[in-house]
Amino acid sequence: MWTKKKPCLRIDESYLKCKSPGCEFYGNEEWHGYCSQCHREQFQRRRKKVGFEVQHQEPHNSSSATSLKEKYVKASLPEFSKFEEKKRQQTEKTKKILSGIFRKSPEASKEKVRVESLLRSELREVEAVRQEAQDLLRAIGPAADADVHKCIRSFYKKLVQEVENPMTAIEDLSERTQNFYQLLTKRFDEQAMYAEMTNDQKEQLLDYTEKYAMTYMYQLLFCPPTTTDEEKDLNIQKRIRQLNWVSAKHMDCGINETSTETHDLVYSAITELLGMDSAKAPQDKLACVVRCCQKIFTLMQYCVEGPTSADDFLPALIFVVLKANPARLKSNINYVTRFCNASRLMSGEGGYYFTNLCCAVSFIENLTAESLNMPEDEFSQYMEGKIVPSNTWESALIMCEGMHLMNENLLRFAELSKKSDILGDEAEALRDEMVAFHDEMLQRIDDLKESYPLIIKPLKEPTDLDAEDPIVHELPPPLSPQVVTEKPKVAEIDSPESPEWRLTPLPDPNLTAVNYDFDLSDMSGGDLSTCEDLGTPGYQSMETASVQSLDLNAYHPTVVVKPVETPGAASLLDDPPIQEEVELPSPLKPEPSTSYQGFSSQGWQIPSIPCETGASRLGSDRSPGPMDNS
Amino acid sequence: MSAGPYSYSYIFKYIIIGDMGVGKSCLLHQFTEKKFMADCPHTIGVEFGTRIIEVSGQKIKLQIWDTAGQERFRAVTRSYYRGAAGALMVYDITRRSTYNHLSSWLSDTRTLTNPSTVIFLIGNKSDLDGQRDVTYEEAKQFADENGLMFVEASAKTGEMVEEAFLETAKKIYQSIQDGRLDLNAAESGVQHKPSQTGRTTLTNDQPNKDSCSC
Repeated sequence: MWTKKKPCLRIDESYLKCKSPGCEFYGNEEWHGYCSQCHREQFQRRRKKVGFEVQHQEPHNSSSATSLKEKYVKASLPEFSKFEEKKRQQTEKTKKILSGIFRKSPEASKEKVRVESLLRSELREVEAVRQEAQDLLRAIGPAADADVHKCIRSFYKKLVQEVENPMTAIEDLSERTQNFYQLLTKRFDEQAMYAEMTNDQKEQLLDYTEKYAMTYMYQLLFCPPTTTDEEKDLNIQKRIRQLNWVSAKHMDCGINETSTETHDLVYSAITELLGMDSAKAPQDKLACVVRCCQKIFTLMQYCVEGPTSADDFLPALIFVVLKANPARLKSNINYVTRFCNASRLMSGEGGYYFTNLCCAVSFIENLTAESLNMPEDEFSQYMEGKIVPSNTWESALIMCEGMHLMNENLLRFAELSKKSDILGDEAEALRDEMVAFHDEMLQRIDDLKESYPLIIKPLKEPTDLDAEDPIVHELPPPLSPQVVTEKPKVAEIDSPESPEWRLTPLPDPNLTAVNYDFDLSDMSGGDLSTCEDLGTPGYQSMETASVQSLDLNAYHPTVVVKPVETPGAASLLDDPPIQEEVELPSPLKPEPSTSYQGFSSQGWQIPSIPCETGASRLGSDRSPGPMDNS
Repeated sequence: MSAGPYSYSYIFKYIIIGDMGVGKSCLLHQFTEKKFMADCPHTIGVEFGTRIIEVSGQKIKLQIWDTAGQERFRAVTRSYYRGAAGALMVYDITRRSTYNHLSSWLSDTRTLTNPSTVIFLIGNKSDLDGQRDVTYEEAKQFADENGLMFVEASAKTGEMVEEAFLETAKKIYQSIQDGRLDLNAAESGVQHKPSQTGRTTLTNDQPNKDSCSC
């Protein structure tokens, strides 16, 4: 409107106003008759239509524009932008047509920010690429190294400039890139600084250049928003999903789906193919395809059991692509096609396999009932998911998995049963051994019993010294007499007389009794009559008999008294028993003992007698019994 | 410097086309390995083969792409043809059907390759003369009518296999010398790998579009 209006004398204000209805601001020829605000909106709308992503606006741009708008609609704003733009231009050292810059200045700066942020994100990887190529760069020398990087820099600066222009088609970028590769190849051949390099090194350097530049600009060039790559990705993804029922049988590719080894190989091929999306440089993506295809070759060799030809290979590749459903398949293929060195794609192993992959993808895209050799209606039913073939990959997978598990379990069972058999055998052997051992032990014990039966006894004898069975039998007499009858007497006698007597006896009554008996019997062995008399009762009540009482009764009176009665006798020991027998009633007889209730008196009488006699004999009347006792 | 496997001046791309089972892979294997595939079961598939040959004193690396022959892949295998300098079209002399399909293979090749692409017709399995279904004369006539080079070969015995590949290379090299084949066209199927000494022998190695951007 603005540009095409005819000249007239009077200009209405509406002519100067912004084109968009209801807008009160003035328009500008540079903005196609819109005010700055409306123009931007208009432009963005147009760009969105192309599918271009618009970055978030820079706040200072819009605010400055609006504040200045009212005052300097026509002149100031462009001036201001121009000033900014010029500054930017200077730093960039680019030569652009000013009008062109004006028109797209806000977008261009935004675009620049976006591009720069995208480029920055790849810096680390670019550095890694450079590190990887250290050996090569060192080998070609610093001059060539510097030159190569100079070329790369100028190349990507140019390319980035073009990317910043949203109107640039991806094909142009691709062409520019391919030209760059060609020119670089030529440069390597012609420049003196590269003269020293071998052909091999030149190839490597070219690959490095490609890798370096493409890794750096990956975010800009891979699946750019100006293309429909993403849409195509989604389409092929959906298509492959729909075709998930296609089996190896449909493809006629001889893959045995139910074999575990096949599954492993198919999976390794799938893994390689999936890796393509994560690689950045085109040649790395190509390498993934090559590895995938080599795996498929191994797979085919396994399945076909012989050498493989392309007749087997392509169906297998299609099958693998169908089962892999690689992410962003179309984007990847397009990226490689556009930015990989064309000479690599046209020839060589990578090129061959990549071509095969393209074929596979295009086969999948155009797949019909005919290409699978099946009736049309069956095909459409499969596609709509109405019926599912019994031998799909998934069911084969499940079956295979089940079979695999079953086989594994069977193997484990076999192993277990073998082990349990062994265990049973061993247990039996152990039992036999145990029985044999038992028998042997019994036999040995018997043998031992036979050969050494009596030796054990003599060993025991010395330990029973204390018992002294035979002697005890011989010497019951002193034990028996006091037990039954004279116990009370003895106790009464003891206590008053002398406490020492109680202490002297040993805790074991038997032992003391025995000992004393020994002594006594030995000493008074001559008097058999007393022994015999006392023997029987004493023996019966051995346990109850108290040692003291025995001793006191038997010993005290006899020992002390007798010498007194018979002063004339040669030995003291010999005489007393005789006298006692005469004077005292025999302890065996119950009547005399009971009649003598006044035991103390009797006791006193007894010692008194020897005392007197002793005294008379010694020549002192009054010396009492205690003297003797002590 | 120019010793070893990389010392070649050109790379020629060949494709082998023909119906399934005519022995494309076997021919390729026989040429690259000098062995019959069935005799060496350990060979992994040979669908991509290279071999360096010598034509008129020039070392040439042949890159041979085997292709899937199934009818249903015909529509999608177009990209195989792109940039092929030579096409070996194979049929089986014991199966007439493979011979009958030659015309469709030929039309594919003609439309998908550039005019200077050399097409060579090979009647394979010449060792099975007793089961012959297509006479030599008939095939020879077909070849002459269509301006093809023709030979009957046997991948099994190796008979005439070498010749077929070499003759094709010679013809391509001749085209280069005549200037009929533009080396700089990406679709030519020929890459020139100038070695230090051999660079000057090239005829039309001139820069084409942009000057260097540096």
